[in-house]
Amino acid sequence: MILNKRIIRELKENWVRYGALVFLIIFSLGLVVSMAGSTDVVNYTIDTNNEKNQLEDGEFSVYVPLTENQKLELEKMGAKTEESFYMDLMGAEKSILRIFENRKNINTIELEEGRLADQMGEIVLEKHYAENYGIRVGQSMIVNQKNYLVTGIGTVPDYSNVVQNVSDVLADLKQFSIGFVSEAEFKQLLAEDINVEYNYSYKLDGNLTASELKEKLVDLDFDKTKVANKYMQEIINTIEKGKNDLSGGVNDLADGTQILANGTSSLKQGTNELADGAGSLANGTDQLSAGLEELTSSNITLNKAADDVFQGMIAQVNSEFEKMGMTVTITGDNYSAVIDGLIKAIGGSDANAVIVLNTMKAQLDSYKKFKDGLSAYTNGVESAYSGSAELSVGAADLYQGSVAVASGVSTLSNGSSELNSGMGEFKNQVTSFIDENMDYQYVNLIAFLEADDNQRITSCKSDAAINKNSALIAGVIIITLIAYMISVFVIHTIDKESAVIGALYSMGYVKKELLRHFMILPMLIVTASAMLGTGLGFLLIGENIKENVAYYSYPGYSMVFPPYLLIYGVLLPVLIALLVNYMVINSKLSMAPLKLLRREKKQHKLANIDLKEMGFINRYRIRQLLREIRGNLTMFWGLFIAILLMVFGFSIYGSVSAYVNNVASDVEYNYLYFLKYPMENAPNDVTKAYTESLTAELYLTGGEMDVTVQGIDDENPYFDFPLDGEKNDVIISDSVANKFGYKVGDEITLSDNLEDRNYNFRVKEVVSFASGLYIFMDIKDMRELFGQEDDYYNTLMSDHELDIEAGRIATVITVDKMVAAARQMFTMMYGLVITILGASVMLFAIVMYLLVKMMIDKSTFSISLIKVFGYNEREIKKLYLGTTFYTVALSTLIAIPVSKMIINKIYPYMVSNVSAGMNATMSPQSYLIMVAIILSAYAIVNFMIGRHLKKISLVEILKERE
Amino acid sequence: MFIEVNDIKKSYGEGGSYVQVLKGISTGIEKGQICAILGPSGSGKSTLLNTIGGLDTIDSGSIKISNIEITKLNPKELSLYRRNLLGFIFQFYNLVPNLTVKENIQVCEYLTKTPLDINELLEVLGLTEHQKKFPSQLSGGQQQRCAIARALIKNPELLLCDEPTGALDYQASREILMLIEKINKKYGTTMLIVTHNTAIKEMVHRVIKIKDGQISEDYANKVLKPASQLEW
Ligand SMILES: Nc1ncnc2c1ncn2[C@@H]1O[C@H](COP(=O)(O)OP(=O)(O)OP(=O)(O)O)[C@@H](O)[C@H]1O
Ligand SMILES: [Mg+2]
Repeated sequence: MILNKRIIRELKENWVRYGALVFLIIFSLGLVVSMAGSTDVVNYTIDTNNEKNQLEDGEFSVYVPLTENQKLELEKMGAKTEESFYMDLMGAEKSILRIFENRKNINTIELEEGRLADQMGEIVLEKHYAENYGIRVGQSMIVNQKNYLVTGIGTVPDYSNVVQNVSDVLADLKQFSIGFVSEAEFKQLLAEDINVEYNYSYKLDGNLTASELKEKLVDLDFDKTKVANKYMQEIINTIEKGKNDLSGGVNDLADGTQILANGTSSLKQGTNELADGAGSLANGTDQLSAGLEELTSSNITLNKAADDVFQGMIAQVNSEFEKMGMTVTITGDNYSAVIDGLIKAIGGSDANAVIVLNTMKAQLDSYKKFKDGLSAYTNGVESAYSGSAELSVGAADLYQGSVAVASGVSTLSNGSSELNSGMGEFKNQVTSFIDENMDYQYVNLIAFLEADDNQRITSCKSDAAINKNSALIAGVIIITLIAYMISVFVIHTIDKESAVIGALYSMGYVKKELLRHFMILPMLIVTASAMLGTGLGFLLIGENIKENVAYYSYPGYSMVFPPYLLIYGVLLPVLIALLVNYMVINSKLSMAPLKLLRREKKQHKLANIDLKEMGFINRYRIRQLLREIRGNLTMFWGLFIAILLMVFGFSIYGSVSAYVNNVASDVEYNYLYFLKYPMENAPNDVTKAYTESLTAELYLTGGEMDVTVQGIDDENPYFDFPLDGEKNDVIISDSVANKFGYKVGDEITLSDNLEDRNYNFRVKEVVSFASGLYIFMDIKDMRELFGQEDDYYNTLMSDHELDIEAGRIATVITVDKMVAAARQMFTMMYGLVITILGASVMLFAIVMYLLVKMMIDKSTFSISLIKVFGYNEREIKKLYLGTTFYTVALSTLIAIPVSKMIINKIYPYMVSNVSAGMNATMSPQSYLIMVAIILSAYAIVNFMIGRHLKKISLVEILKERE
Repeated sequence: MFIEVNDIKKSYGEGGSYVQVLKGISTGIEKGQICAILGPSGSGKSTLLNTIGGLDTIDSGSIKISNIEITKLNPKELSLYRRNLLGFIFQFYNLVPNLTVKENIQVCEYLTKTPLDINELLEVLGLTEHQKKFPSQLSGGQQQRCAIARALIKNPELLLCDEPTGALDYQASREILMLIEKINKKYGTTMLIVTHNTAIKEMVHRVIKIKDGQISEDYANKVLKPASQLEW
């Protein structure tokens, strides 16, 4: 169609406009496609690598290594395990190098260079570590004061995010990494080192679920005497001693009763033969006294042990409840009422449960009776003993009251022989109770972690996924905006050529032909630039992926070009443009030919509102604004999106810098030691605390995340909030509050996944504490809740470095290092922030320039006319650019708060996998900078348009008619 | 009769703004004739022309062109009717600004399977040397000639001209009128010319005068004066 010849000319005449649009499309699609594409490349690389190198399904660690039989048993059930024992040793520049032995079947090493370590004294290093310290294959390095030859450099699939602890916020690739040595070398290290982590990786064959495996591991028997770790051995000894004390006490008790029986029967004889003389009485009382002394000496142990057993039973019952899915917790005082309540609540609906509950209650009742009886008895023994002492001292007095005594003694004698006969039975019962019930305290399993919950494995992919999703969404929004802008330009053209179109209609052109014609240009532009943009995006993948490659540890990537990205990058924009332009142009071309010929425009109703009251300039401006309502609305949306991007950029910046600052200011101790094996006597200048790690549900993603529950006391110098209140009151950090959406007054449930137990807390207060995810409570309540001794602790806080045996320490947190890591995150984010801000400013300026210019073009005739009337440039600028100012000001005023609200809602999703609570915050300065950016973009565009206005000549009026 | 117009009535607006523009117009025009429609401003000339061209609807009456009742056609059929039979010339030429003279003509050549020879037409209209120019590079007369060429290229049976010389000076107007005459002779095109130029009535076959929505005068010229001899 010959008409199409004008397309090229239209393009040439308005090259700035179309060029800017093409640039916008290419730029935004390039950005989006490269972001999404690099995610796909990362995912593909990681997936292929995971498959190739047999990524684990999960891992667990134990106190005592599994026996060969146990491993076979697990394998038969459907879980192949492989030892992945490790120890953290000191590498280059005080860094920590976690040493494993070579892997065989699970999480195998992907070498990038060199070969595996197969001799003594050889090591393979993780690639970033090698790079950071400039170590190459063939060089040697010192680990733990020993020289190693580096034979290879590579990665493993279970440490793609090389963090020391699974809950670490960031990897510090200089401070911590991993290395692999030969089997023989590892054996030798095992012989030397005290603190080895008995970690196992497993792969399930489909017949076994992870939770079944975990259950099995919890139940697995193990030989306590084989616990190699001396600190663990200490703990076991203490527990065992308690048990031995109890059974020893019962034995003593039995012995004592025997002696007592003997003593009392002698006493009886003695009293009967009172007249026979004081000599045999003295013997009797001495024997009695000895027997009673024997008894009292074990009273304390006995009562304590009996109480331990009782508490053990209570804990047992609580965990039964847990298994039965009940969320109640009983104590020694309330069990009877609680269980009765439960029975009542269940009623007839579950006969089995009622039976079980009754049994539980009966068991507890009988034991409580025994315990109470025991303490009554020991009390009795004690007073009997003091009585007997008096007895032998006052032997002379006794003589006088001998008759009265005789009857009393007779009763005692009967009682004690009864006691003695029942004692054997009782002793058996206690012993079997100990054997049956006191074993549950020893579970070999320390930690159990499925691959899906292991951020060392997942975080790279989930990180990338979030970027990709947000990029794809942003892409669609921007393309829609651009498509709409293009259609606005096309409408502008149609309006300008309305009479021509009317003429063509008059000659017999049909709408279809003109529609097709007017669609060609926008489609051409969108198609061409979408193809270019997508192409550019693919080219930029390498650039985009750099940061990811530098941070995460995976093998060199190979490019993939996923077909969906072609669809997204080319087809989707084309479809959007087709749809938007079809709708808009079609409606324009549907006007009657006569109306087109007469240049009648569909005037917006708003354009006719009464403005009599206003001054001329304002009236003119508002009329202009209303006349160009479509252009102004488009500009509003364009500016809105640009501002949204800007707010997003500033929010990332604000969030990360607030995190860095708060970490530095909130944490007042300098060193935090988590002890795996607390020592009996802590150094005296430290603050003790008690820490447990529980998991909480992430309402955002439905996943879970670890939180740290920390018990502290009122004297703790590093925290200044009061700890009073109910037993289950906790104080949560603001990080926790915003990560999990908790508020003051909320009842929250945290779970111990290892023990399958839930704990309920009530949020009493939210305090500012940026580092990690902490929940604080009174250490006394916490010990009670977790069933620990009154003086238990496992955490030390200090303002200086402590001299603690390395083997006792689970983790040390050094605040300086933490702050440094946070700073590193800041630098990592910097590039992203700059890109986003740059893109937003560009979008802002281009959208504004194009639309303002278009509106001016539309008004060329009137501008030329008022120039003829004698208006000067300043006045004309006022009339025509003033409206733009209204739109820009209004867009800014609306868009900033609304964008902030939107970003506030979206941001938590974007950081959902970061184990720290981060808010989308913007400092007042950021707002000021933003407004400054907007104003300067406006000023620049204004200047450019002003120059354009100057060029509008007076003869314009002669060329055209309106 | 090529054109049969029977008692057509047309009004605009409602209530207070109601105006009856055509108040029952009936006439007929033979094929191959040139007919001038004269009358004061606002009398309804353009309205009549537009209804005949199928651009505007009427309230009542009938319009038959070449035996087709065009008032009964739907928009699609109307554009087909225009495509096959009509050529339009406007007071403001309405050329496509970013197409050359020749291309502007080709735009309408596209609409028919039996176009006239474009080079011959350019020659006839004296546009051969201007064919590569854009409308903005032409004088008003040249633009109007281009518009005429555009209307003629598909060799329409009926040419509707609404004040074709309205924006032109004496000399240019005369040239356009001479062209119209020439084309009528050469191609036998039936022509309706709405005009204020009363001199034209001497060169056409039929003269219809409209006043206040009604035909006030309707006669045929026995002798036609050549356009070259018109004076005004
Ligand atoms: N779309 C419309 N709505 C309302 N009134 C209209 C419309 N179009 C034309 N009119 C009115 O119809 C009447 C006839 O208009 P028309 O254009 O036919 O006049 P004309 O004879 O061509 O005048 P001129 O010589 O000035 O062109 C005028 O009074 C005009 O105001
Ligand atoms: Mg008219």
